[in-house]
Amino acid sequence: MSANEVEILLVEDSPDDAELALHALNKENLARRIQLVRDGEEALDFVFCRNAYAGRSFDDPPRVVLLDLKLPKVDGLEVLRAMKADPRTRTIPVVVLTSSKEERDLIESYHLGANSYIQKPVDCNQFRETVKQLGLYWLLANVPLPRVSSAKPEA
Amino acid sequence: MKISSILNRKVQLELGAAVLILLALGAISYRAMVKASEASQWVQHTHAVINNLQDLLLAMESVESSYNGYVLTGKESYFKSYRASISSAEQDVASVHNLTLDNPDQQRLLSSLQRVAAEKIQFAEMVSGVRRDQGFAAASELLGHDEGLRLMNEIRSLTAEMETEEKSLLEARTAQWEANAGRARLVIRLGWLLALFFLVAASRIVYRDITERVRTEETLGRLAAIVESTDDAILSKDLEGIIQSWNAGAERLYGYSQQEAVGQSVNILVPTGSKDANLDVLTRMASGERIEHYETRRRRKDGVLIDVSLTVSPIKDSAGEIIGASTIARNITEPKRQEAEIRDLNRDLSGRMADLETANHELEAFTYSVSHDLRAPLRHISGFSNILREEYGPQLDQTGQHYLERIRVAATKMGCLVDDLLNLSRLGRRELNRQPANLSSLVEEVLANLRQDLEGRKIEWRIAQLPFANCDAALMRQVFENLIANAIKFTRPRQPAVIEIGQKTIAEESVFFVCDNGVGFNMKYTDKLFGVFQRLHRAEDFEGTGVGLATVQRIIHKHGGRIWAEAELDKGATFYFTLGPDSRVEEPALSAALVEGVV
Repeated sequence: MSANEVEILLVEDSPDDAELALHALNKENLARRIQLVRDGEEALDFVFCRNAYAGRSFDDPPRVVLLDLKLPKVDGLEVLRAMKADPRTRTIPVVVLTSSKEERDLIESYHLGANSYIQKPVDCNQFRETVKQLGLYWLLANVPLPRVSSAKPEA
Repeated sequence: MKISSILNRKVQLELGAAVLILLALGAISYRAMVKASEASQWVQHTHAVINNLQDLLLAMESVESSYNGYVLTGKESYFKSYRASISSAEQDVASVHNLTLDNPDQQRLLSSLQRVAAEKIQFAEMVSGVRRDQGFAAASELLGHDEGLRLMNEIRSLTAEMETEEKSLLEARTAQWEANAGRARLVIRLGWLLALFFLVAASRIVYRDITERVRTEETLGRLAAIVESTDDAILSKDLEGIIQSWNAGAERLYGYSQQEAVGQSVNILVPTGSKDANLDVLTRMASGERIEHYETRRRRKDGVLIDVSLTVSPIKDSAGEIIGASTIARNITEPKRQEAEIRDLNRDLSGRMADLETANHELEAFTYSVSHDLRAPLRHISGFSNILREEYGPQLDQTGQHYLERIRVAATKMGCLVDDLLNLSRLGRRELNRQPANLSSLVEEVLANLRQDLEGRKIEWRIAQLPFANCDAALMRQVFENLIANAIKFTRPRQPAVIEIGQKTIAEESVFFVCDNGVGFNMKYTDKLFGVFQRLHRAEDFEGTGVGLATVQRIIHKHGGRIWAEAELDKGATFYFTLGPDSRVEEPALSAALVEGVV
């Protein structure tokens, strides 16, 4: 299995949240490969195929990025800004998945180009349901950008 | 002073005129007297002439009779009498001659008379000679020729002529004198009148002047009394700054007595270092500049500095030249101090306000952050306990299952608490978005959302038509949601529950209310009603986080309104609220809103 088969990039610093999310996704058998990164810097390395992820190709973007906002080093909004500012990563769907329901976070996220904004429900059943819906929608219902014409480097 | 000197001059002129007139009248009177005396001399003179003429005539007649007697008798005694008469006649002629020397006509007549008299005497001599030499007959014959009679008649005629002349002269002189005397009387009378007029005029002016002086003195006295009795310090100074006058207020304010201050420079009042400013004011004022009222510091006799408010006005002499200045000073030390105190208090207050605002912001940030961070572990507790139950449930007995369930419920409840807190904290930072809103529709929407929770409940709704209000509709929806949900919750034991929603006007203020017949509460806890996490019921009886009414109150306060409750235990509760003066919707705004479909 190579890195280019990654379907979901989960950006989550909390191991508990990560485990719960992974548990829910596995439970529903939705994702064949989920990449977990623990901070904003690693997330950027991954999507921009550099450093530890230098072997990756822009031709194999994840189908969706589940992005927490409160992250160590580089926060979620910065990751979002960098991704949406670069033509090579602009088309990757980003779902903000966060505890925050703050208006300013919402507004900022949408202005930066977030494709969706979801507040993590406290109730575990609701959480599981939400994760399941996310998986169903982005991996099955949503038609991704065709790979060949996808965001090739312009330079 | 100027007016009075004018008056003086006028009075002097008038009095001078009166004196001159009186002097002139004296002169005129004297002259009239002299004339009168002259006239009386002339009368005497005329009488003397006439007397002498008559004496002359008598003497001549005596001559006649005496020589006739001599002729008839030949007695020498007649001849002696004749001689005496002649000499008497000669004396009379000489007297008349002397008396009429100034009158050529009379002199001429007199010489005719002398000539005739001489002829008569010559005739008498001749007749007398004839009588002595030739005797009576010859002499009597001469007498018979009537020559003597003719001469005598001529003498009588000439004497009468001279008398007439003298009388006519007297008449002419008398007429002249009377005319003069009449004129003099007229002039004197007019002169008296004129002098009297001037005297009266002068005395009127003097009287008026005196009245005016008295009045001026009274006014001055009044003004002086005011100056003396006022609390303000009033002083005057010349252009060199030397104090000229000093009232009681100045003594009270500055501590120097009048004796000490007058003659001193005003610089004794000026704190060291600002002497120039004071003289500068004088210089500016002397150059005609208008000095606005200003505030400055002064030093009392005891050295204490005081704040004063000064009004400086020029003092002018009668010619309009500025010769000094008057200064009215009021002690404003106390108002100044109070002003400074108020300023300090205000500064403190703004500082505290700023502190408070900062504290509020920090508190809100803290609430947000705490709530946010609390949610994650709750989610984890809930999540993992759920996984535990699902995947390892069969390995747990019933008690274990029960504990797991309690963990999950507790976590969920805490999640709700945190969510409510977050909501409340968000309200604090949110700006109001006021729009005219139809509160009736708002209530209907809220009720529609709540209906699903009402299964099995029997509720009698009494919902009045509510007016439009200029408010934040989303927040007001939350207010009605919370209040109605509370009413539903606390009427749960009632069958039927009665919930009333309405509006009434109390003291010209629109008051909204939500009233129920639920379990109510004891009014002594009313101050805890709107506090965060404050609950008046046990959680087993009525669920809730204790944040709902706090949220409602916050929204109402943000609108500038008030909220309060009236309740009775086991009878029900009524929540009242107002939306503040800015919530009133004027008719035009309402119509516009209706047209645009905003509401």
